[in-house]
Amino acid sequence: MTTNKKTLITALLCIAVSVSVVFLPLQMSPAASKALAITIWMVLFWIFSPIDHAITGFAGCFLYWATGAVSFETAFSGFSQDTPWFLFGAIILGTMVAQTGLARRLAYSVMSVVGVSYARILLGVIIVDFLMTFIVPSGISRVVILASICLGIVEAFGVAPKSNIARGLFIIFTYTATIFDKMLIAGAASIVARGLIERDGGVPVYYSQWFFAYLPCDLITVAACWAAVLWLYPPEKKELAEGRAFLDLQLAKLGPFSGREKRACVLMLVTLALWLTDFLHHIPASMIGLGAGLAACLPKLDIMDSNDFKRVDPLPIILVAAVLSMAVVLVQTKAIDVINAAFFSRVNPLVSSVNYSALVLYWAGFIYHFFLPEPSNISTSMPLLMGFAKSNNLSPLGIGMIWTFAAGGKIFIYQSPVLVVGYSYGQFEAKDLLKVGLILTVVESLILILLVPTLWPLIGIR
Amino acid sequence: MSTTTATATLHSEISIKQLIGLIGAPLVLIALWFAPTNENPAAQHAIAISALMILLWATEAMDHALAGFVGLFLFWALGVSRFESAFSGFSNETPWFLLGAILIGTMASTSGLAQRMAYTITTRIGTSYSRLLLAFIIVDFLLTFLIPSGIARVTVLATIAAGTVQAIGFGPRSNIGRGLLLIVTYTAGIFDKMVIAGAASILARGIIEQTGNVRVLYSQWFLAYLPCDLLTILCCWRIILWLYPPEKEQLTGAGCEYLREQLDRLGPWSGAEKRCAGLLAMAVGLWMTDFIHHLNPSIVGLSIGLLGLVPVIGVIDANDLRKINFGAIWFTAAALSMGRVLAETKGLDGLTSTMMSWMGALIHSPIASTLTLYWTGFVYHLFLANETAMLSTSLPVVLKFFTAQGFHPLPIGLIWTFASGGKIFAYQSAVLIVGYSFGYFEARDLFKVGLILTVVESLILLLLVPLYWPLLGIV
Repeated sequence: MTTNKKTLITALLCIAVSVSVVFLPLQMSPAASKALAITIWMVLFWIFSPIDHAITGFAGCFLYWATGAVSFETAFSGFSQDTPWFLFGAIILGTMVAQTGLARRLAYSVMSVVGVSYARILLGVIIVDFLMTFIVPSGISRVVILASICLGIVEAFGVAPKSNIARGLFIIFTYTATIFDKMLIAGAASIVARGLIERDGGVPVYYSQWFFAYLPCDLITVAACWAAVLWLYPPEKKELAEGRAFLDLQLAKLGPFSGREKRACVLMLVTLALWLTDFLHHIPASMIGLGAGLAACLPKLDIMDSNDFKRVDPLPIILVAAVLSMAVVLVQTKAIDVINAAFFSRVNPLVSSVNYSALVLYWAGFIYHFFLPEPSNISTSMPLLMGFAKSNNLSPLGIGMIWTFAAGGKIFIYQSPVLVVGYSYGQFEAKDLLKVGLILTVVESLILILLVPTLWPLIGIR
Repeated sequence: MSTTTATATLHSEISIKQLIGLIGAPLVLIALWFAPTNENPAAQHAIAISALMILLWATEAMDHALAGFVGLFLFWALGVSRFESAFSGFSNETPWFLLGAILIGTMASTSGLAQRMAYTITTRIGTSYSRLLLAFIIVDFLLTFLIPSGIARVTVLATIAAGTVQAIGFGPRSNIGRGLLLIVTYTAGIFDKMVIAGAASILARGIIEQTGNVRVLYSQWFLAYLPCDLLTILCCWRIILWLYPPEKEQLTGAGCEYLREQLDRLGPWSGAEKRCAGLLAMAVGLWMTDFIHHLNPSIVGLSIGLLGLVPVIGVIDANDLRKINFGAIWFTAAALSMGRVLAETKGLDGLTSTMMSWMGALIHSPIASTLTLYWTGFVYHLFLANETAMLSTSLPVVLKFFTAQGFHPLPIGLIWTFASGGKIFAYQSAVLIVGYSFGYFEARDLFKVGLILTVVESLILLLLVPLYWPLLGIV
């Protein structure tokens, strides 16, 4: 069968499934029914990819409006949220470090400390990603910082984009950026979750308790990610052929910092400093990211020119905005209530205790995440879960923590803006994310089965 | 290129005008921010940031979209408005309607349909120079429906016109060459004000709906300017024949042969062309009949644009989408956001009373109001060269002022938009620059033709506004 025919059949099947939703005997308004059908269509198209993700997202927003489910402002509300424009700034910063040569210099410098073996570099990247979670709470920011180094590492190894080395490095720091911030109260999802557990669950949530509850998981995840990537993507070169001599030569070749590189470096340092000190000044990470991206394009700074600005790929921005719009539409039309009712009526009977039901909760959360990106998946479901926990004498903290952790399990790009940012560097494909995501999700669930009944009761989560 | 050379190039590219913008815009922002006025602080700060945006747009100190983003970022970062308001233009239908229009244009040129249409009509009509000239003007008008980008239309038509001029043995500065290229270029910037096609009229429609709170139908706009379209075609034709009498009236076989050869080279209709023709017919059909079904023009534009991206049905793919000039879309959204912030902070009220109060005495009759509006728009466009920038910065203020005086926003918006078509210098539009870059006419040719046509258009408008528009319910 030709690719065109396959695409057509896939598309028709996805459309048929989503249209059938309209005819289901569900208690909901016509607007909610339309919104649900369109959302299912979008999710299926994102999963099976008959057309580009961004086109699917944009078409979905258009359909929300054109079918009269919601107003234009609601259907396209994601475009007036800060996340897609944070991404816009992040893409500009990524282009800046690559074009000025700063990425290469950074990479050579890092490699001269960590070593020239790929396995060591990979481990270093994962550990840095983990450690940065404490000081840079924004997943997108972490990805931008690590991408600026890894772009140079890929170049230093002399391999092409989408080579095993490039895939391995980019997929792992992108993916772990969305896991580690569930194991700490850092990042939008866990911060929102903490607030909701305290408000609706009526229990205090301590940073330290959360941290210790997941500490073993952090360490095992670091090791598991490293081993999984080395297994899935064996490097084309185990280490740099000429070793440290090559690094020294390359650093010498780069010579002193050029004017553009210096300005780019200063801008990155200021950005980093602002991200690291946000607990002092409380400037949102997105404001810093977008501001830095725009500053890089200003004519007198001479870091990037207007052509570089014009070349910024708009499709990741459209995709992220569409995903955010989808969440707003589901909430506003109350279609999410229907999803919640159907979903939790099946899940709740399986949850008898925190210890024994960790697996059920984790996988239920994983599936629920297909319909909503984070942190919307947390904000729409957590109040219901907390109500369920309280009425059944279950630990709201335990239930809430597992549910939040489940938001880390992802296998599709559209599920998180952080994944879209990593993907936008063009170093890995959607199928790589599916593969790595699926393996790590299984690994994380196994770790959880061990932790919940053994460690958690020791620190008062039962 | 070494880094040093690249930096030097970047420096040398900044002209004095841009330098004025780069230095002047922040100074104006600071001056207006701290100026002792009676405005409320939010309004004053919104005006200060808007002034920075306008100055950056007017001096073209940086990319228009980038200047827009800088302004929106400042609205948010300096606490003038919430993020949702500062970036509200992105959740307004206008920029996405423009995306739909651009997608349609990309479909027409990528599939080869636009070229086929141009060659077919010019081959059929153009047996003499004057007929060929008329054919090019008519094709330019008809292509406005298919290719909503003036630059794309000029690129397609000027390439064909230049090839024809060379084939019949004339040079770039011959009267035939001047006449053909000049009129193809100039009309590309007029026709798209008389149809909702192209960034300027799409943006204007959005602003009229947003600020004036009225529905703007595609068919109504089209019918309002239909007599003007026909008169413009005739006037352009006669004026060019008068100003640039051809060296030779009857074309040699080579000219017609060239056009026929090019048409033959296109071969039979490809699948992509057929699909594109079907989609375009659907779009034009739906737009023209929107007074019956009342389907929003943006829905039509966007749905056809998106269908064009669907495999099997469509003509283009995600890579074509990536190559689209998103700067125009970002800029349109930024301009709308600026208007929204100004309105929300009440900065628009202050601006309107300051900028428009002198006009009050001149708008006592429909004729006087029309003339005042048209020529004020024309003069304003001399200073704010880019037509979308000209409309986005002035139209909300103009609408606010005239509606306060008891005028209906629709005719005011229509006239002001039309005024942005009057141009006499190449710098006033990227479309003119593209046509000028072919080297077939000089700046003084553009000045001469532009001035005559601007006067002619204002006279046509004087007839239409009081006599014809009331018949369509536009009063």
